[in-house]
Amino acid sequence: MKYIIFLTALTGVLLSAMPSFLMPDEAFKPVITKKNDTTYEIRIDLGNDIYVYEDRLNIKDLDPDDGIDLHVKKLSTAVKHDSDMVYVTPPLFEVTFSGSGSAKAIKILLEYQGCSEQGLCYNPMEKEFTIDVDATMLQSTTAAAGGASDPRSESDEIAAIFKDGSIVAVLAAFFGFGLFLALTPCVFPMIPILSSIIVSQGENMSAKRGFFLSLIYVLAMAMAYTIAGILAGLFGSNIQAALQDPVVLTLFALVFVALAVSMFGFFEIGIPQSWQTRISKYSGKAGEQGGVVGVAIMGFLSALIVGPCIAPPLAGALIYIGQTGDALLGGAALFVMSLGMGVPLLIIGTGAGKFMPRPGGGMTTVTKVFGVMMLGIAIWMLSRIIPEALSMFLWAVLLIVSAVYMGVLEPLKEGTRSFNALFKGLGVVMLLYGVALIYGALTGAGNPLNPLEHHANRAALSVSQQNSGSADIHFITVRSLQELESELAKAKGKRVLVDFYADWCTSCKELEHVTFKDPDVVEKMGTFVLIQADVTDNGEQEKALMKAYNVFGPPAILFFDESGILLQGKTIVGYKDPKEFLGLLNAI
Amino acid sequence: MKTVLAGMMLLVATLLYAELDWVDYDTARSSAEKEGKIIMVMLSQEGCDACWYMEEVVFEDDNVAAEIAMDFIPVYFDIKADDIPEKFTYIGTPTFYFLTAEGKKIERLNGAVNVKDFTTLMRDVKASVKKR
Repeated sequence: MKYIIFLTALTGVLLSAMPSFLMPDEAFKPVITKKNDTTYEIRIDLGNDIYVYEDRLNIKDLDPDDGIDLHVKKLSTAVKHDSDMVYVTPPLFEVTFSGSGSAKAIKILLEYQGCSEQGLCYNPMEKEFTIDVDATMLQSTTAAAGGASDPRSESDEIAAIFKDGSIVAVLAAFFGFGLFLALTPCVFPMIPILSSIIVSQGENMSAKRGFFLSLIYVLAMAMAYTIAGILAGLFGSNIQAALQDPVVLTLFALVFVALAVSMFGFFEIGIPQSWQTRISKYSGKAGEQGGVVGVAIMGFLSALIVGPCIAPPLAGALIYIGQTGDALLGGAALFVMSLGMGVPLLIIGTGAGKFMPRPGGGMTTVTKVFGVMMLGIAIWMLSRIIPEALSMFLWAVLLIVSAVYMGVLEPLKEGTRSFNALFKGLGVVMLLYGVALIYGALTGAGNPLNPLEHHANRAALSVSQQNSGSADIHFITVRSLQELESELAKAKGKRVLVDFYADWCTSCKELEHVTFKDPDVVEKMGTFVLIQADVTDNGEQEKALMKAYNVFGPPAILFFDESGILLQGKTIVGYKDPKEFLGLLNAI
Repeated sequence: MKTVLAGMMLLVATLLYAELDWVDYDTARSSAEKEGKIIMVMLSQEGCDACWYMEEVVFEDDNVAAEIAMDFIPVYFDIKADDIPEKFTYIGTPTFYFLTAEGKKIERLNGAVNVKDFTTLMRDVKASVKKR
């Protein structure tokens, strides 16, 4: 009897001391799925409490010399576990083939090792996949890439063009993207800068000289993008974000204020006399040369500060450079793209040279208008780092003061010409809008383009209050990779939307104020777990977070499926209006 | 009196044996026979979190170390580097086998456990040997 009791006790103890572990083939289930003729996805499904070491996971080409190359793209992110980096969710890889080999079957070896959280580490394991690849498909991937079978985001498509296309095609495509980019608001702030530079060049301005100066400006701008792109690719760092640093932005805002003040004629900005004479030693025409250098510097700087809208082509090029390290082609493409962006600037610059009034006479009004524009640019840059209400207030001050200068408060003189009346009319509009902005700033509106939003909302609310009121979207905020991973883990079983956001990012604000306010969008977003990755600080952890998901800068919106896997082709980069955004949401 | 004595012995053992004295399997079999101890085999490998836990946490525990030193002969196998006798099957590491001096299996433990559970397991293994 005693013996039996002892035996039961022993079994009980041993059972509790020995958790039942999954067998290796239950713990790890490697799966391969075909995405298209040249792209496969490899995933290791993990059992309960199983994790895989990041540095023990390898995908190898077993026939490296068969003329077909393997490109492995990591789609999931490892997390810190004790002192190791591990995957706690099924690691996912995209394998793409390229090359012109005649091989029909490609052998891939997947090596991995992992453990159970219960306290057991499995042996290193490997799994061999044999894939039949139609070698003829490999060459013609350019046409196939981005086809209907494989939904990709815009930046993916651009990266795909790079991967497959010839150099000429790549460069031509990027010139086209540049032209397209020139139509977006990204380039608008450059127009007044360039025009004012050309106008301030003053005398003997001709169309030819205007064109020349614009060309210098555009080339310098292109150079800036090229360098930034290559550096970003090589170092994987987010240079754009660094340039959005409050200190840098403030400095540049001050530069613009100084330029504006000089436009108003308070003082002249020019290259110091000593520099001019030094330059004149090398060339006969001191003034002209000095102007060229100044224009080039302005072009370079305005590209860095004013230009970096997170536009898909730029992000696509950066993704490509970052992944392949082919800095030469990537840099060339960015250069060509910037030239495309510069085409409208060239046209405007040439026109400015020809049609802009000569100094003296009507010149004063034009330079003052540019001065106001410069101040506007300064406010626009500061608006990323100062409170919304303050920037609205600054806009209001600018508009009202300008309006007063325009003589809004003075009666029109006898026998006024129609031009003056028009001018005053515009001034009145500016004055009224300035007043509206002040009202908006005081009532807590954040969007200078919609100063009365709270007023309008209040009216709308009283109507819609009976029908459940207006739903607001609510984000869980994360600031590090670890936080994001843990929120993703919590959200398992639900689809997740992760919004990369920063206070200094204008497009993010637009998304917030326009797209995320649209009732249809709000309703659709309600079906996702909403996480906001706040990368405002742009410190180490924010950079790591962006890097982990190949995000080159906010805004970027990532989607994850029910099992926490990133939906690669669905990432949204840049601003989308509500209709477009809704379409993309519905496609998920 | 008996408990006091046992306690003192444990204390002395603690001071003497802070680290485990791993030996190879053949040595273990002859010493186990001579000293009347139980063989404790650990199958381990490099880069194994759970093995690290056993070695750096559980076996660093003074009482566990002392108890092993008193009653067990520890044997260490690296599954990547060493030839493992066929009878020591495993699905992963760490895996422990407790054996008599003749090499007869008393108990097998899959995976890491904490100090308390490992202590209980050692006591049970000892008890079941005495029972035989």
